[in-house]
Amino acid sequence: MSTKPQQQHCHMSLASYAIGFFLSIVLTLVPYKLVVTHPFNKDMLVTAVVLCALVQLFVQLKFFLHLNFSPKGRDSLLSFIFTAIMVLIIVFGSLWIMHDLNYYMMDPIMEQHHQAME
Amino acid sequence: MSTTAITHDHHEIDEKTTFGFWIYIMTDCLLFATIFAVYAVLRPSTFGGPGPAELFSLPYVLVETFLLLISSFTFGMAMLAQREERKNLVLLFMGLTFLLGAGFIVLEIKEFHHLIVSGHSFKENAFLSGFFGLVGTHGLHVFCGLIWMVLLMIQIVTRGLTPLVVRKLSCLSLFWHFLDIIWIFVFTFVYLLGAI
Repeated sequence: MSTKPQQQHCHMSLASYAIGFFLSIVLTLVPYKLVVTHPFNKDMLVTAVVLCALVQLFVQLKFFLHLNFSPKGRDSLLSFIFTAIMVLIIVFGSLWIMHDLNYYMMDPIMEQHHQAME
Repeated sequence: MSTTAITHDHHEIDEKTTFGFWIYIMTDCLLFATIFAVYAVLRPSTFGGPGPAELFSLPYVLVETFLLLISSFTFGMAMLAQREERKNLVLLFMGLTFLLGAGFIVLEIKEFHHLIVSGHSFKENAFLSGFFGLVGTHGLHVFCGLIWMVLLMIQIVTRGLTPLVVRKLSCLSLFWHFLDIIWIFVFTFVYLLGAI
């Protein structure tokens, strides 16, 4: 009983958790340090911080949640990819629509102000 | 039924249960996606009040982040101890995870309390409503996870590491790691990008 499950869950090991934990710490401290010290311009800073979060997402999915490309984990992986697509549509779709609404429903006073500026 | 057939049966149920729970977690992802979208849309609407850069303290939030990150690791250790069927070690690591998670919740409640007392409650403007909605929903999930953890620890003490208890433990493990991932995004998009 004890040997079989171990073979099946061989990807779940102390090393896997330790690597995931170490990488997560680094990927938390690096963006924190960047934001506190502010070494480069705003756009690059935002890109770097978001990139760190995305890398940490994949680190934790691999080392903590053990998501993988094995045939056994296929269903989990496919449902995750589907969810990721839905999340992107919800978040960016909402931002796009609300930004457009804001633009077209601009306050008339503000609009006069804009026209006066031009 | 021979022993191998029983273990085979258990494995099939284990896989079905964890996959079903994984589907629940995916739907929870969608819930958080909508709340993140709401926060992103409402963030500029401070109604003349202070924004995220003035309200939040980054070192404080970094401590919260580390509590949750370490608790994710200790829960992983509990899962490893469970595989080796070392009951007391499982309980020790679950206890540690519980304390770290509880510490996170205490810090979060203190942060909320401080904001509300200094006149920045969720009623002030749309940005603060979005903030309390997003961070509060995550905190509520962590709180439910803590209750679940206590109940499971009681079951481990009274029943031992039976296949049913281990199955529940696997589901809680997925849930706990998932909450850590959600927090990374809260930390990045609410606190870090808010401070830039």
